[in-house]
Amino acid sequence: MQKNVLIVDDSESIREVVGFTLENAGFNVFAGVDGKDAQKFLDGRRIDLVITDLHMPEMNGIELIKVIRRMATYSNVPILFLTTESQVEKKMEAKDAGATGWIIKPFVPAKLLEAINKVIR
Amino acid sequence: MDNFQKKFREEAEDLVNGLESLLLKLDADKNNGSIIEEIFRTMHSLKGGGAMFGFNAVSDFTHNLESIYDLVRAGKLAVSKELLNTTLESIDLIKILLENKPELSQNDKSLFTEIEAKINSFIGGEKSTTRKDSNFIAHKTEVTDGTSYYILFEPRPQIMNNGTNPLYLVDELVTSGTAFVKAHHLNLPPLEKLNPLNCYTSWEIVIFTKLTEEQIRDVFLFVEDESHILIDNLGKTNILESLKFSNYLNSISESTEYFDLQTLTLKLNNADDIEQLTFKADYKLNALQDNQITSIRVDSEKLDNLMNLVSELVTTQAALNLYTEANKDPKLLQINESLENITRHLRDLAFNVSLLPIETLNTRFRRLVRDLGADLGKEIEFETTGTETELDKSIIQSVTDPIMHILRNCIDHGIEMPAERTKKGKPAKGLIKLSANYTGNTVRIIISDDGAGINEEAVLAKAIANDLFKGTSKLTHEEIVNLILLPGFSTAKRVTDISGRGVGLDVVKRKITEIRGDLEIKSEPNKGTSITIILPLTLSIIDGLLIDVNKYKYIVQLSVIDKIYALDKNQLGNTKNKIIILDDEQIPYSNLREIFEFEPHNTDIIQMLVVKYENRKAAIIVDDVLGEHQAVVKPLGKLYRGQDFISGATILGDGTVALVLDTNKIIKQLSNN
Repeated sequence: MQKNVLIVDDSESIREVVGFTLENAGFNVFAGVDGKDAQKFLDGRRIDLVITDLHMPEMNGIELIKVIRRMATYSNVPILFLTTESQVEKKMEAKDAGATGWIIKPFVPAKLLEAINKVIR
Repeated sequence: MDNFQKKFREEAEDLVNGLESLLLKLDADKNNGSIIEEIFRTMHSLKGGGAMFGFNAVSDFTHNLESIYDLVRAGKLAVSKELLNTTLESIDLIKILLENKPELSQNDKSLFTEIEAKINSFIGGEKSTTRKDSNFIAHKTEVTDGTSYYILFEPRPQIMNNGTNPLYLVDELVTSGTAFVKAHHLNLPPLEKLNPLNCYTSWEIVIFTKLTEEQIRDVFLFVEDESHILIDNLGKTNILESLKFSNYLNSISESTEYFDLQTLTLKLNNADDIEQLTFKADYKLNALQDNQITSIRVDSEKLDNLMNLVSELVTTQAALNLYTEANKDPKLLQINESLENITRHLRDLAFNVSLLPIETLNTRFRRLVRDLGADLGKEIEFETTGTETELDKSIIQSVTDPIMHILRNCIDHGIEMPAERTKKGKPAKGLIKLSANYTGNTVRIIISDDGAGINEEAVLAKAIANDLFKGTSKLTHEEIVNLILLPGFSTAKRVTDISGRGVGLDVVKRKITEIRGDLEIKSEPNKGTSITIILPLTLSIIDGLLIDVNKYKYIVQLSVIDKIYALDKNQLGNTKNKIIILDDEQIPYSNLREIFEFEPHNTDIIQMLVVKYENRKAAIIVDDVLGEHQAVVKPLGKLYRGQDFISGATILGDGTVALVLDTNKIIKQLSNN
C-alpha cells in the first residue's frame, strides 16, 4: 500500500525537493506551508509519516508536533523534523515534544530516505 | 601413535562395534527413538574423541554422519534401507580411518569420496555446518570481510509513544550482515500494571557485519538518548560460524537472562578447553552406559521419607503461591512459577517411584488359592489379567489384606465342592479371576468366582436374625447382597478358621473406605460372585480445585471435574426435582449448602461444578471457585470416620484447613435419589 507522507515547510524549494524525492520513492505526498496550514490534512485521513521544519511563521514545528501527539488518530505517527547541525537544544526540545527523529539540513536524497527507513516500512 | 591415541583407538573400536549392533537393531525396529538417540550419541563421542586425539579424518567424517542422524532424530529424515546401508558402509570406512595412516590407499580414497557423496545426498547437499540454532540466524547480507559485534538494545518502555518502532531499528541492523537476535522480556510488569502501549522488550544481537561501530551507533541515532545501548567489538572473525559460539548458544538456549558478556568472551577464548571438558564428560557417560544399572532397590522407609518431604514441599509451595499472589512482584512471580513447575514434576516423579504393579502380590494370591483349595479338597484355577496395573505402594499395602480376605471367601464360600459342581453341570474345577484396570482417576480390581453365588435367603434370614434388618420391606436382589457388607455379618455354616474370624466383608469394606476406595458386590445364584474394589490412584497428594461454601474452603479433586458453569439463578428452573439441563444434558444437582445444612445463599450468579464418576455426571452448587490447589490429603481422625462426603483434609497456604470432598459419593447419592 502506498504510504502517505505529510511535508510541512515554509520554504517552497524544500517542499519541492522533499516531495520530489519521496514521490520518486513511491510515497504519496501532502504538503503544508506551516503548522496551521498542515492541520487541514490531519482530518482523519491516514498519514504514515510527518516531516516538518521547525521554524515556520504561523505555528512552528514544535507546536505542530505537540498538536499531532494530542490527536488520538495521529498520536503514534512517526514525525521527523528538519534541523541544522548547530541546533542541538532545538533537537532536544523537539524530541521532548514527541518527535521520532530528525533530518539534518542540508541533505542528499539518499540521507533523507535512510532516515525515513528508520521509522516506517 | 602415542598412548592416548592408542587408548582412544581402542575405545573408538568399541564405539564402532556398538554402533554396528545398534544399526542392526534399528534395521529391525526402524522407528525406535531410543536406538536413534543412542546412535547419535555414539557418533557424537566418536566425533569428539577423533578431534581431540588427532583423528581428524574420523572426526570430520563422523560429523557428517552425525548430521544425518540429527535429521533422523528430529523426524526430518526417515530410516530407510539405503540409509542403513550407507551408514554400515561408513562404519567400515571409519574402521579404516581409525588406522590413522598418513595417506589413504587409492582404493580407500575412492571409497571415501563415494560414501561422502551418498551422505551428502541424505543431508540434501547442504553443508553440515548448519547447527540446531540456524533458524535464529538471519542471513540477510553476505559479508566476507567484517567485524563481529555484541549489541544490547534496551529501549525505554515509552519509546513507542513518539512513533518509534524499535523493531525497525533491529531489522535495519540485522539486514547489514549475519546476525543472531535474542529478544528478552525481563522487565515485564504484572498484568494489571502492564501498559499495552509500552515496549517491554529488549534485544541482544550478535552480528557479523561490515558496519563500523560508529555506523551501528547511527542506526540507533534517534533513540540513543532514551535507550540503553551497548556495543562491543568481538573481533574480526565471524563468531556466528564458530562452533564455540553455537555451543555457547546451546548451553544458554533455555536461559531467559542476558548473555553474560564476560562469560561469552571468556568462553570463546577458552572454548577449546571447554570442548575437551564436555567431551570427557561424554566419555564418562558412555562408560557408565556400558555397565548400566537399570534399577536399584531402595529401602521403603527412604521412599516414605521422600514422599513426606515432597508433601511438605507442596504445602510450603502453596504458602509461597499465596505470598506471591499478594505481593505481585514480577521477579518473584517468575521464580515462583518455575519453582511451582519443579515442585509439580518432583511430586509426579516421587509418585511414580512409589508405584508398584499389582502383580507383585500375584504369588501370594496364587499360593493362597492353591494351598487353601487343597486343604478344603477343592480344585481351583486362578487367573489374573491386567495385574501390570500400578498402584501407590501404600495403597497396595492397605489393599493386600482385603483382597486376601475376599479370596478366602471365594475359596471357602464361593467355590463348591467338586462333586456338587459336577451335579450342577459345572466343570469340577473352580475358577477364580482377578483382574485390574484403570478407569479415569481410579483403579478397579475385580475378583470373581464361578461358584454358588450369594444365597439370598440365607443372607436375609441371617440379617433378620442378627437384627441387621427388620424384614418389613421388600428388598431388591442387589440390596440383599449388599447386606453382607453390614458390620457383624457372617453366613458361613460353621466358623472356619479361614474367612470367618468373627469379621466379615464389612471389615474389608471399612478398610477400603479408609483409603478413599469403594466396594461393590454382584452375585448370581450358581453363576458366581464378583467383588469390585475401586481405589484412588494415589493417596497423599492430589491436584485439586479450591472452592468456598459459606466461607469454608473445600477441595474437589481436579480430575473429576468436567466443567464449571456460572449460571443465572433463573436457569435452575424447576428446583423441585433438582435436574438442570446443561449443554443438552440432564444433570442432577445438589447445593453443598443444603448438604452441609448451611443457610441458603442468595446470589444472582450460581457457580456450578459438573463432576463425573464413571459415566455418571452430577452438578454441585458452591459459593465460589477459588482456583487450583495441590492438596496434601491427610486422613480424618477416627471420630469422623462416619463422614460420607468428606475423604480427608488438607492444609492451605495460609495455614487454615480445607476439607476434601468425595464427589464420587455425592454423585452416587444423587443418582440413587
